[in-house]
Formats: sequence, structure tokens, C-alpha cells
Amino acid sequence: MKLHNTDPRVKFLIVALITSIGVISGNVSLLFVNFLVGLIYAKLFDVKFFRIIKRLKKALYFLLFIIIIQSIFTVQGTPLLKLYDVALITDVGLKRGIGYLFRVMIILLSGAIISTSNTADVLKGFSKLGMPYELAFTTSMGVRFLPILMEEIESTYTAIQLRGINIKKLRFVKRVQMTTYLFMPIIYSTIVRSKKISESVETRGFRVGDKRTSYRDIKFIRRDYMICIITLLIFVGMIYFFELRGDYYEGFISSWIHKIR
Amino acid sequence: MNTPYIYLKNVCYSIKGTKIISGLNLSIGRSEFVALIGENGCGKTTLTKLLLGILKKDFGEVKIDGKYIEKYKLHEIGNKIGYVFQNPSYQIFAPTILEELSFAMKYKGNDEEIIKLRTEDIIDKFSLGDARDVTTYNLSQGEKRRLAIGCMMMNESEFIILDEPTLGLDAELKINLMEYLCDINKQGVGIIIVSHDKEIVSKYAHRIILMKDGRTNETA
Repeated sequence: MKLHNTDPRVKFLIVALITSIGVISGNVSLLFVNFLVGLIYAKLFDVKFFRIIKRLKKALYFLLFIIIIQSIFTVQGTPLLKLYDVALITDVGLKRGIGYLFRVMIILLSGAIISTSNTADVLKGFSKLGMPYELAFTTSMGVRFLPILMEEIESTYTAIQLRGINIKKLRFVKRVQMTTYLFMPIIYSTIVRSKKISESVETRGFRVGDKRTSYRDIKFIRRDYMICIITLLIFVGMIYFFELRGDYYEGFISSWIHKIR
Repeated sequence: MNTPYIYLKNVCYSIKGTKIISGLNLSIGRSEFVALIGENGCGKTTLTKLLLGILKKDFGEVKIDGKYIEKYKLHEIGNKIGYVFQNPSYQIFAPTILEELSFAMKYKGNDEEIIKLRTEDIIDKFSLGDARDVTTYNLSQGEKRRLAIGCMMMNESEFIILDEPTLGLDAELKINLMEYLCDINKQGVGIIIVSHDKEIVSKYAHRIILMKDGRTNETA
């Protein structure tokens, strides 16, 4: 069953719920289940999540590094790994690190779910939810330009290598310097581009009239209502079992960490 | 002809099932001056990117200087072949002209005095003196193109590929550029120039290759 042509407002609801739980909850088990639920939705919306993960492989190493750092600098809890008298990894630190990983994954999932709707529909969805059109328009424009920025960074990276420079073999300080060369032109071109776009939309009479008509419209159908109801029930259930019943349903990740201890 | 510097045999490349290059065969000598012409979207830029290893072919053989392209890393190709992008903005990243021109030489640890001499020489040859104090990001398209070509010349490559180098240049600058390319070609540097400007390239190039639907056709 593929649901990628679902109303964008349904996707907003799903994303709002999974990200809210991701931000508010500190319960690792809930975060894990939340991630799994997000993954199921992503599959239903035809998101190629593991392909995204593959593309972000390098960033994931950095993420792993942050998780380890987070675990090391958390002193509370029972030590799981000790070096002499210094607790390197504690159960609380490990839980925090794993929680952080799920949060980042949830953010990635949310972006991927929203991107399954085309920009015009997302824009329409935002304005139907009461967001000012100008704000919705600029947000969607920003999202639309992200792939172009990525392409520009890649081109600059290629251009540097084509000057005969082996970036991988450079010393750390020179590599850091290189990032300035990578990002400075991008920042500059983004500012120039946004100025040009604003001039372009102004000259085409953007927001001259109060009411904007649209050829394309989005409509809530019965299936969308059904998905919303099911989604709400799933999330209420998750919060009830993992947060309100507290220690009783502490969750298997927490108990797994306790078992290690 | 001696061993070709660039050799392609039955090369195919497609994007999402659409064939861009199909069964292309081509060989170019070490110090040839070749012009690649053709309609928009016929695969000229794609071909140059395949030659540099920026894009990976689906099928066929690509050899540079007798070695398969897969054996090279991108920076190794960069040391052999200079490349000017169709959009020069992508290859200009330093804030000043001096820094941009001297970038590669500095990173490779060349002597400051030599870098300075070469930089001044290039600034003079490509009429960039007036733009010396302008931020590179604010240069006009023509100036950016000249700067990009200048940067490539700083590298002293044995072969150069220029994608639409005459775009945005006035008639005088076009002739100056082509004469400069002829000069360096006489010194033994091979050149591929991708252009729509058939009139001007036909005056200078030794060989013109017409591309159509991802295939080549020698015309002169």
C-alpha cells in the first residue's frame, strides 16, 4: 500500500507528532518505538529512507562520534565502562546517546516524509492551515533550493580536486581552511540568489491582490481522515504506555542496558 | 598517429534510462587542438565530464594517457588535465583574484616568488588588472570566465578542456583567448574546446567534431 499522494496536511500531522515526541520525551524506549512508527509511515509514503542514510554515510560517522562524546561526558548513572576510577560510559550516558541518535533519525524521517509531496501541494497545505502565504512561500522556496546548494558544494569540491589537490591528504588545519573555500561562495551565491528571486517575484506582481486564486487545490478525502484518526490513536497509545505508566513499561532498551550492567 | 592521449571506445552513459552518450568512439592526440560542437543537450558537457572521471560511464573504455580512467583519482586527473566549467562561478571559490590564481600553487608548496611572477603574468594576459581589487564573487561573467581559464593555466597542465570558454566575452577578448590557446597549443599542450561558436573555433582548431544524439561525427 503506497500513500505518497496523501494530503500534505496529514503528513504535517504525522511529522508534528513524531517530532514532538522526539523533542519532549527522554524515554529511550518511546524514542525507539517513535522511530519505528516513523519508519513505517516513511515506507507507506514511499520514502527510500535507507538510500538517504547511504548518502549521509559521512555525516553518520560524525553523529556516532557525538553519541560517544555525549555518553562519555555524562557522569550520572552506573558506570558500564571504566578506565581506572573514571567512568567512561554510564547507563544514563548511553541512554542519552542512543536517544540523541533516534532524535536525529526522526528529523531525517520527517524531512523525507514531507518531501514526498510536491512543493505546490506543501505550500497549499501550509496556507490552508492558516500560515501567511508569504511565509509558506519563502519556506517552500528555501526547501526547493537545498538540492541546488548541495550541487554547488559538490561542484566546488570537484573544482578544488581538479586543481590537482588531494583534499584527503591535507593536514587538519588546511582541511579546515578548505571548508571556508567550500562554503563562502555558497553563502554569497545564496544571498545574491535570494535578492534576485525577491526582485523577480516583485516584478511579477507577487501579493498585489489580497486574495490569491489557485488552479491546483488539495482536498481532504475519507482516506485522509482515516489516517489522521489512526495516527492519533497510535500516538496516544504510545504516550500512555511509555510515559504515563512510567516504570511499569520501562521498555526493553532500558532493561537491556540494565542487563549489561 | 602515436598513442592517443584521450581514447574512448564504445562509451555509453545514461541518466534514469535516458541515453545521453551511446556507443561513442573517439581518440585525440597529445597536442591536438580539437573543437567539439553540437546542438544544446547533445552530450558535449557530459562527454567532457566522462573524460575527467567526474561522471562514471555505464559501459565502454576511457583511457587518459594510456591508462584507464578508473585507475586515476580526481586530483591526479586535475594535475594532468585542466578543466574550465561551463559555469565558471562553480570553480571560483577564493575571495580575491590573487588568492584564486595562486590557490593550487600555494597548496602544492611552490615558491612564493614564482607564484607571484606567474600570477602577475596571468593577470596581464587575461586583462584582469582592472578587477584586481574586486571580490571574485562580484566579477562579471566574462571576468569570471577569464579568471577560471587563468587559474587553469597556472596549473601548467599537459592537456586542457574548456567548456564554452567564449560565452560572455566580447569579440576582441574571444580572439585574444583563441590566439592564446593557439600559442600554448604550439608549445605542446593539447586542447579540447566545447563551443557553439562554430565560426571562431573553426578558424583555430585542427579538428572539428560534431556531436549529435550522443555520438560523434568528424567534420573536418
